[in-house]
Amino acid sequence: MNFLERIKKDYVEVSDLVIKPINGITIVYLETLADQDKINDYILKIIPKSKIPKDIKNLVPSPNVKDIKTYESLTSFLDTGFTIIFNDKQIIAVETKSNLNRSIDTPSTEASLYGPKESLVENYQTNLGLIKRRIKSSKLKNTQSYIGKYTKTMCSILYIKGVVKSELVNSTIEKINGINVDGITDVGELKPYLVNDKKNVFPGIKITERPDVIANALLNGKIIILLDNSPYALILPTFLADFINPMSDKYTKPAIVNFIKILRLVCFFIAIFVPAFYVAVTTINQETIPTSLLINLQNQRMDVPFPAVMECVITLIICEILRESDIRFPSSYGSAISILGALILGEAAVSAGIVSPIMIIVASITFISSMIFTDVEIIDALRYWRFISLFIAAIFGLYGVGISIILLFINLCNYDIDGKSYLYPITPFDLTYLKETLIKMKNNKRSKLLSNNRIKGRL
Amino acid sequence: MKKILILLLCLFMLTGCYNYIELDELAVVSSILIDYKDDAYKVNVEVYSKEDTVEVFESSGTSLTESFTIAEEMSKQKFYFRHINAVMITDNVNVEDIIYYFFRNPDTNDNFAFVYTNAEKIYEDDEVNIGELIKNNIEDDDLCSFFEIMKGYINKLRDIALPMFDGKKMGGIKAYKMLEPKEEFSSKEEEIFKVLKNKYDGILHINCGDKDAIINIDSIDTKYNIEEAKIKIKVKLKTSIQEMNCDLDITKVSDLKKLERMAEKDLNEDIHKFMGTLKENESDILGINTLIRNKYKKLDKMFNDYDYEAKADISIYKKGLLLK
Repeated sequence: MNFLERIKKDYVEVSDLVIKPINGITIVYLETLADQDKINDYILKIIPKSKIPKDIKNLVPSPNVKDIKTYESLTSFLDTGFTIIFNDKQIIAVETKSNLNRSIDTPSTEASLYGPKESLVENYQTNLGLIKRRIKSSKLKNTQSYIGKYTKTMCSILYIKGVVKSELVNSTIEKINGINVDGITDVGELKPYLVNDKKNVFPGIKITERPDVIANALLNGKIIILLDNSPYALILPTFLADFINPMSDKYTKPAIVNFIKILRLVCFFIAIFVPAFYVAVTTINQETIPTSLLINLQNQRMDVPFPAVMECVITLIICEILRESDIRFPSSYGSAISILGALILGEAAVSAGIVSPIMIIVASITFISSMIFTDVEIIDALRYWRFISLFIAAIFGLYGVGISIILLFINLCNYDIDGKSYLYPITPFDLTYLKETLIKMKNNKRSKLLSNNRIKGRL
Repeated sequence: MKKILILLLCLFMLTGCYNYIELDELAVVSSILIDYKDDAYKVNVEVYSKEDTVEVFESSGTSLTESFTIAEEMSKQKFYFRHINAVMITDNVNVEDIIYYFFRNPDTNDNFAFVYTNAEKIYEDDEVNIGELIKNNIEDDDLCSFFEIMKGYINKLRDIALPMFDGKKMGGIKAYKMLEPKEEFSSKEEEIFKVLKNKYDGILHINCGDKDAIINIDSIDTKYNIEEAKIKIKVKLKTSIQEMNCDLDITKVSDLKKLERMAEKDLNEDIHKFMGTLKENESDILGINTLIRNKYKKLDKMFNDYDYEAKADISIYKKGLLLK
């Protein structure tokens, strides 16, 4: 059975398959993936009306023409928008991909005041271009592979040779090649195959849409995973310090940004422990707050029928519902939801005596503090620990808050990313990486954990 | 898994929750007045109420616990003693019982003011918080806090002195000998008591004929030098002039020196007189017996067997603006 007959058999019930015989040659393409203008310019216009030569490869003006030897490569090209030309005994594939991409947009999930306003798109080539535009070096390597038996999604591992540790690249390539699934639709789906983080709610891999963040990570000796049709990239390895210190800090003066960095660290704990602390001091450890504040809180809580812990859970759950609906709703409805939730619902809940005004303040402080972090997964992890510490504090009071803090640190200390501590650069202590993340200071070295080429500015 | 279950069970069974109480179920106590009449403890418990007012619950019982329980039932809330400002006692109560009660109660703080009162009526106005009034009027918590009184009680060599409250304001001290009420001291004597306890930062009046001057104490250093037959008390004060009514020209150094000498003379006399009263009553509210025992490791002679010599050294500083 020749390849053409086999295509007809395999692609039965594939409605967009076009098989068109012209002057003794046959062209085959998928009209949803191929660009009709390119087919017209590269193929139809150059087919001679009289005798067709045996080798038509040289006649085709397309920059990307491939010889087809096997049926597998034929289907692969056909499925990616190429047009296949059958000419006597010659089969060639001409790139006629249609442009199905959106233009480069501003970052939507990692907004920052300063820095580039570009973000990745669904097109792999465009994304690679955005990165290569920032790192103009032949040392920037990308190893490609295809994931998914059906989707055959292109996956690319990017790194700078001579900067990155080769063991990290090899182990990542091994993990990517070991993935055996029907298909992958977004780069986020790769996370479970790359890091074993089932016992921890904190994210093990940073996901980004900013090419400047990617370039910076590559320069620090990290590796990037790009996936075709995904507007995000994965950064490996990443630590807790990377999540709470965004790249935009690099664009601000150290004296100013260091204050913000300390503030973020404080907010990390506020976002987890403030509701627990409130419940502890109002139900068990009332002696720890000043008398005037205690009387004030008591007067506020007089009309609330629920126990403090229930009141806290109700308020936090309402806030979570609001946040979730705010994310899902179109942006035009978002502000309406915020007004309805924050102003009307909050005010009405206090007036109705369901929650006390102080509880609204506690929930607001908690939520505003958690919103400082750009990574959604960190916000989710904070929520998880918020509820755990809240329930422990409701039983044991401030002692329970202490237990929660210890549990959190045990959990974080136990977490390792490919054998590297999640609390790096605190444990193990590394001043070089500390200057890159938790404190902004002059630094001309790379982290010893990430690179063997320690001195920056040396090829 | 079994270990974790046992651990969790222990955590829930042995700790936590026992002291869980909602804020609206608490009656935060501000002050307590304790009296003993007709073989019964009579207590007045002042609790915080809404809008800066207070509520007072009065009850009596054969024991303190019974009295508090009855008052608690009247309030329909649980009395919360952790934020208590003051406990007032009268002449009739057994001080030891009161100290024991609050010492053994785990739900109370130890820095409330422990005060003596002889006033007939105290809680008359529900807008006046007596507990806060007492707490705010006590200059130095260290001298009359329950913790300090406890220390005096545990140290058997020392007697205790409680500040006095007349129903409107604080003033004077009440000395106790072996927890029995003894003599009362005036406000002026209370100042000397505080000077000798090295805890005074108020004002001193200097007599100059029929007029007086007021000096403000900025720093104080009182030391006791125990010798064979005499105890020398050295009081070093750094002061500044607050009000000047004497016929002295304080822009002259000589007149300033004169004022200092007058102040020293006054203070020496006051200390001598105060020590005489203490000796006479054998009331060691200053804790001098402890100092003697600490020095000689034994107590052959009590504090009232010694003679006293006071030497005040008062210097007026911040005089740059006064001198010509």
